[in-house]
Amino acid sequence: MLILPKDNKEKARVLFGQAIADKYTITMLIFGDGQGEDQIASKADVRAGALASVRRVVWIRDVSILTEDEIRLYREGRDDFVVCTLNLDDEPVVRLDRDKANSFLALERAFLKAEAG
Amino acid sequence: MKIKFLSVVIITILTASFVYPISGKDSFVTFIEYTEEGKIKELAEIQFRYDVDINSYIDVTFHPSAFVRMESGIPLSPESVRLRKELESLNNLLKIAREDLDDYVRDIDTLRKRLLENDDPLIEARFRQKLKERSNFIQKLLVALEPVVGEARLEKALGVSDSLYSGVVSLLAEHINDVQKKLEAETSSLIEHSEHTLRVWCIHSSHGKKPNAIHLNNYDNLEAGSLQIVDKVTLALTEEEDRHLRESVRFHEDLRKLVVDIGDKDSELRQAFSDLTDQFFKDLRDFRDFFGTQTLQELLDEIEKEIGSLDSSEEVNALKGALSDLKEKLKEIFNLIQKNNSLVRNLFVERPDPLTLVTLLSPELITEVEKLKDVLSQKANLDRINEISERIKNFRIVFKKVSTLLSKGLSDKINEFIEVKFQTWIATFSNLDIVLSKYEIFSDYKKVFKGLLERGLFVATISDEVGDIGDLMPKDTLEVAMSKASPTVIDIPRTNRQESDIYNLYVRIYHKGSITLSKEYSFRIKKYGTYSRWTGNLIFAKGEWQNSFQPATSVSWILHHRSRPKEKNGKTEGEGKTKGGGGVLGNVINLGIGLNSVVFSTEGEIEYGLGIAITFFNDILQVGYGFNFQREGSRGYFFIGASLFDLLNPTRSNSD
Repeated sequence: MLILPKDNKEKARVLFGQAIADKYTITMLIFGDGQGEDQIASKADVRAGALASVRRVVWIRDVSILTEDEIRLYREGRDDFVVCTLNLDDEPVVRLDRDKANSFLALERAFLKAEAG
Repeated sequence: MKIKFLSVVIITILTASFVYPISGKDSFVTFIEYTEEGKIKELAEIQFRYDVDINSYIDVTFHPSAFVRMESGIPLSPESVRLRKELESLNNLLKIAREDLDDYVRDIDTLRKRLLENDDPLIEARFRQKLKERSNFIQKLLVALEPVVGEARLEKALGVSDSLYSGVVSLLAEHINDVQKKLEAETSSLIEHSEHTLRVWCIHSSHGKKPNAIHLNNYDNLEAGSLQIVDKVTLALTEEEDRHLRESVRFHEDLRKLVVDIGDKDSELRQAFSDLTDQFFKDLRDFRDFFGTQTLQELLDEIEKEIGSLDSSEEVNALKGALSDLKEKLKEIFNLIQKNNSLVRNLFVERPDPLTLVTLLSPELITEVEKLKDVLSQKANLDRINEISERIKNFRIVFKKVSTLLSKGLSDKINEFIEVKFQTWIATFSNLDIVLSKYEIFSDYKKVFKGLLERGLFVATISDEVGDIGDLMPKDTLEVAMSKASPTVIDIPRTNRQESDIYNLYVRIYHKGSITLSKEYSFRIKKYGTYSRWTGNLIFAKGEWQNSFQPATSVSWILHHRSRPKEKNGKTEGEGKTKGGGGVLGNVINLGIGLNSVVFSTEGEIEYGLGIAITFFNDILQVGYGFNFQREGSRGYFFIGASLFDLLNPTRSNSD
């Protein structure tokens, strides 16, 4: 799991860019911090282990590093969407709100859907 | 009424045609092997023989639902058809989960690595395809399970990071069991009215003993016997192991004597050959010395002396020509001697097979000697010398002297030599034939050796046969209604057993007195984990005080480790098929390490040695190093050996 730093926006931005650019990976983005996102990130990391070479979890603790366009793309502009999975072409496939995201089953399904294309 | 009757017929036909395609999937009898360590394996159909641990017991469960499907003639209910279809679908999922998930992960990892090295569109397409296939399968698995096992259990199963989804697969297996039980319950009510009965019995076959029936709970009135856990690592021998070891030691001692005897005879023959070689070379040396240093040299000296006194150049040349011819002739004689010399030397130095030597080379040698005789008997250019003698009167005396010397002196000498020596050689070859005839004794050895092999094989045959005896149903067997077909257990630890024993389980179903189904399942006993065994061997030992290896009989106590078959994706190897034993290292090489005790019998004295041995191939081969404690000075010896008895007798030698 890649945890982006909160105290260094520039570095976080660079790391985020690299993570998105990383080829042949299925990326699950976790947004926010302080409202149970750590638990969600931890669960997502467990599910990423089921296909460790392909699945990647990126926890963006400070969402202010994202551009407006990115927020629209990944979260559809909604604060309650805390998880977004990207397929191999880095297109958002599944978005989960805070309640749903706190489930291994939902996270697993989000990964699977992104893997299916 | 007519419509109702037709509907029933149509439904029955549809049901039957619907059911048949899914038949043959589940088994009427399933087994679970347990040991002191717990559950080892689950087994379905066993087509030949399955290896189980010597301390294991086998739970036997009957599945009436499978029987109903199998030509039982019992009509099926719609619910049983539905449950069977569900079971079929779930079993397919389980099969993929156990057999293919691991391959998917491996393929995806490999393809991704290749893609990172080289952006190949074809590889990328395959990568995406594999990822998608795997994803679709897991989604299907979750969809199938969520409604039946509940979200909470699935959530718990996914709480572990595992590429094989073991938790989820376990839930699936549990669910399959539940569906199976439902199917059993559904079909048992069908069976209850079917009047089918069941008889089950088990025959234990052990080497050297009469096969006997063992108790199966719920299926006979036999006594259960007392619990006897076998100690796998022990110095003690069972009665059968003791008998086998004694037989093996006797066998190898006889083999040792045979080897020693052959060795002695071989030495005797080689000595005889050596003597003959010496004699033959001596004859050749005599021949060379005779001509090279005596008569011929004298003759040549005399001729040269006479030629030196001649004064006519024409006559001198003519005489020189005659002398040259004579020298050529002599050279030819020496060449022939040399040729025979090297021929004989090659024959003896290379030590060919004696029989081949006589068959192939004696005629050639005799021919060469004949040639030699011809050349030696020629009167070297006497006609030419006489012609010259007539033409040149002055030298007639000289020629006469020369011709006399050649025709009488040389020729007589040559004839004398050849007559004597040739006869000697003929005698030599006759002696050689006599010596070679001793080799016929090896055919006797062949007979003895063949006898030994047959002795070993006889034991092996007995060992092999014991497992096949006894399909006879014991009279204590009970006939049980199929609807009451309860599980039972083959309680191996309550039987007096040893490695390689066979337990045959017979299952017979009757309907109104006739057999409708008859099945047989066979289990063979093995020692899994670390175990010891005794073995007799013939070894060849070379002590630090010796120049060559000497045969000796030995006994070894060897420790082995036999692994169980590895499981792949949670599925036990052998499930649904006939397999047993471990991997290549475990089964074929079967390395062992242990102690070896040797009896050295040299010059009428018997000495004992003790060493460490490493064995290969189920103790068939062994190498080691030991110490002869009854010697003074250097005591170490290296040895290499084999157990021919075990090789001939694989059943008793724990072969896999």
